[in-house]
Amino acid sequence: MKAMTSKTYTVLFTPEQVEVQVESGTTILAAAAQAGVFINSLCGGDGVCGKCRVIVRLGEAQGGTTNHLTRVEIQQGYILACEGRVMSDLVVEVPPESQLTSDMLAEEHPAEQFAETFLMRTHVPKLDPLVRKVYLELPAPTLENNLADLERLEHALSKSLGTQEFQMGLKITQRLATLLRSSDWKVTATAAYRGSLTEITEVECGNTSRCNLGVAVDVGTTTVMAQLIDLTTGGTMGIASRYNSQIRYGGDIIRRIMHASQEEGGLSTLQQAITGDINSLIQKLQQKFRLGCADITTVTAAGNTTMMHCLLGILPDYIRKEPYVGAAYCPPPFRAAEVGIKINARGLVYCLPCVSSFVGADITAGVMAVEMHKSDKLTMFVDIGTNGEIVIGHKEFLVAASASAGPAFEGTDSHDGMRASAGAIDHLQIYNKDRLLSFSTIGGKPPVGICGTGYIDLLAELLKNGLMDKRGKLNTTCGSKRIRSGEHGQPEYVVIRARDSGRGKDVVITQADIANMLRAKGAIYSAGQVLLQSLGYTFDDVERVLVAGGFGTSLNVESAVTIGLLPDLPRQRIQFVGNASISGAGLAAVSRRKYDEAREIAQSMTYFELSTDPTFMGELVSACFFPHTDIQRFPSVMEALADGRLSKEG
Amino acid sequence: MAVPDTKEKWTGKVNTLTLGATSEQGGTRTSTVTIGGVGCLPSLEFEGPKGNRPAIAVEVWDGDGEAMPAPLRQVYGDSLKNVADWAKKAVEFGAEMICLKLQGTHPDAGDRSAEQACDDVKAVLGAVGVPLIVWGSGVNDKDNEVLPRCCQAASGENCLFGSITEKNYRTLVAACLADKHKLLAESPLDINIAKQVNILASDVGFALEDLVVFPTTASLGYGLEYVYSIMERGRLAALTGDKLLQQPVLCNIGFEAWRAKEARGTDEEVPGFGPAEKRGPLWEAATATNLFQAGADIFVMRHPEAIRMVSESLDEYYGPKGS
Repeated sequence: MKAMTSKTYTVLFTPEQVEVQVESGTTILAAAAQAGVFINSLCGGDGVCGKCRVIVRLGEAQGGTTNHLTRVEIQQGYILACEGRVMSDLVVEVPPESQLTSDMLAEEHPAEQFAETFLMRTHVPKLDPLVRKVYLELPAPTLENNLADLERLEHALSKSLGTQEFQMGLKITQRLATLLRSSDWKVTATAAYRGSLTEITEVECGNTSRCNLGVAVDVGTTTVMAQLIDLTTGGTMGIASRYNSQIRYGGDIIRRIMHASQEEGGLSTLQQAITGDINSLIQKLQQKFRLGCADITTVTAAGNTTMMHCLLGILPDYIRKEPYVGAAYCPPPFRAAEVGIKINARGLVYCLPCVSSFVGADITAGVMAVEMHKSDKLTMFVDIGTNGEIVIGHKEFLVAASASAGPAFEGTDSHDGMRASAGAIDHLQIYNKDRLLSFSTIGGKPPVGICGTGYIDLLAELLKNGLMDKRGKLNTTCGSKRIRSGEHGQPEYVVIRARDSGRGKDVVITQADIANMLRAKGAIYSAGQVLLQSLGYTFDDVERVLVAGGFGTSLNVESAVTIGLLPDLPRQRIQFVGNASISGAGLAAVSRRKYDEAREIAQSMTYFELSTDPTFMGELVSACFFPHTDIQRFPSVMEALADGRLSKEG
Repeated sequence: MAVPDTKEKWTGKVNTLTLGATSEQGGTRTSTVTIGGVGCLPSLEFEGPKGNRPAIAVEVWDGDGEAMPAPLRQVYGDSLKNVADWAKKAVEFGAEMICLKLQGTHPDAGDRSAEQACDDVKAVLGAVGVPLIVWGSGVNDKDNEVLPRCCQAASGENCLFGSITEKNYRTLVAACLADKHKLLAESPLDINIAKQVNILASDVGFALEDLVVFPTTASLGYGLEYVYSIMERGRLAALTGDKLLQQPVLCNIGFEAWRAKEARGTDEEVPGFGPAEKRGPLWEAATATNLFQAGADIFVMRHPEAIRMVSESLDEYYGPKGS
């Protein structure tokens, strides 16, 4: 018998058609990672999430047929990639639901998706980018005007920029004398903002000031988005986005931190994953607009505290350990090359500042973008991401809390949930009890799953049509043909039948999905409630509710109120602002003042710890009901539901 | 200067609810029980009506009475072998209602059938004239099979059926609606969930006025202070006008008290607590009177001595029974 250990096999992944040689016994997930084929895995290979489904078309794999799969699926060759081991040459098909849909709608329909992202950018700030290129025609030195070359340059730059103190690297200083003379004293200086200091990062021959680009990045736990900005005009040129490749090391922050701190080389793996994502987005935008990477001088980045740590390769381990302190909240600008981001060799990465270990730069960026810190109106800013964060305040104060809502509305924890990408159901309505269901998908593609805004509509519709009770239990006795007994005997509601779906399988919402979302919406609402209460306010005092997040392209506010995710306020007070984090990062890139404002916001914002508040648990239980246990808090919903019941009976 | 009036002015009160139906009311009971109506906190009757005297229901099992602690077996004797005898004995001991617990229908504790359960219900109805509480095994599927049949069997008798929970309520609500019984709404000592169960029942057409809340409790020495504060919060909400918490409250006193080792242990097991024949009843009575202070309207009890002691204290507050 041959020794099993040394045997290697070839695994071919379809539809990518990528081959890889692996040792016998390697898991398919590991083989895929080696081949660079992406397979969804939320649990990072622990065999518990059941998302890494693949189909073995040819050859023999061992294991992986768990209770996450139905008997029919097992017969069809489905296994879990993290548990299935390679025992022969294999052909493995990665089905659509397990693939990384690499490009979101962003690229195909930028106008629709991002119209609302920048809704709040009504006041375009004065163009004053973090990194400026200044064309200078220096007077040639004479016996009378005998300033040295560097001082001559600084003097001219100081007149143009109004700043006094400069710094410059040795390499450029060494080249300066020759360069100035060879360019006949006509040069373009790149001046980067470092607070009171200005760094001259580059001096080029002639006038290149027309080519100055920046990239704003939102580093989400789930999705990474990049926006290309022309820093000479402040205009957005294009947007690209993709999934955060760190997902393969775990879907949530805690798993990522554990990977960074406990796996060998874990931190650098995570850093390479995220910088790789950012580089590929930048490359995509460069190709699209036919740019060289030297033209990009600035990257501004916003994300939660852990993501910012990972981006900079800083160990995030202490974030999750008492007393929960991060390594750096307001880092200075760093060389992009040092961070691993491929732009101009001397370009800088500006990270927006974090507030605390659980309130990150995405929140400060968002608050800055929506100008909450300047508003007279009491505003509640709700960011629904892989977690939920809430900021309450106005120009006098800002208080933030983190609601451990979980990623329910990001779709990653649900049976047929997905991120807001092509084919995701983002809106739907149920008519005529249950006979007619109309929906829209992102990009108009055949439906393959449901994204956050789709779930919000779905829950509201199930509730209004009596298909689900206020506790979120599907009504199995109402005679609906769409409600059936699903996996493990749990009830589920069929949203889209296999024949109408883009992946040949039913799209359903399960009882467990609903329970998950009930908790998530309860956590967000009660966080707002407790935070307001601790400040001596009620929801009625809130003049504006701004809902941010990339969980859809637009939010049906009525649905969000119906399920009790948002308070029952006059609807004109509630506004969806899209991805406010990237808006803020973009604003910082084009305005030094905005960048400083973000740092001031981070300094002035107070973090409120909800878990130690004695009323929080009670409020949470009370909010884990559709729309709320204290139904009087939702008068308009109460009325609408009562009307619904009447019309059903009549 | 005049002394300021510091009396609370409550805007709500607990619903008044009647259990049992006499022949004029379409049933066969010889007595009925009316509870609720209180509009103040206990002993503060100058702030509102003190309402009806709480009722004492006595527990009867459909199965093995041998599992009862020894002091109870002693007083009930052979009557524990048969639901009808047991019920008669309970009425002798002062029961104003019988609480028939169908725990023998539990799949792991006898798995008695719906037919057998119906027979038990009929047997108790035939043996005694007091109103009936019928309580399922707590296994959702089995309860949904057994209790609707029992509802039918007791149709017209205006019983209290229990219990519905946030996870299982539709079947029993429908059955009680059809056969005009009252319902016991159970929650795990949480006023939010208590409210939620009431809302769910009301959403499927059950009147809030026909519900009794069962908050699940504890006995003396096992967290009674916490129970007290939760029940008091519920009562305060009722008095301030929250219709979703204005239901009378049932407490499962005997079950909780006789779980305590101090109540059921032998003299050797719990030395220093006095003789078993006094300890158990005192534990039960102390638990009951405490929960009376918290606002209980129905006490489900076991030991005759405890029943006597509780009745006496109720006499002190409400005056002798029937007066």
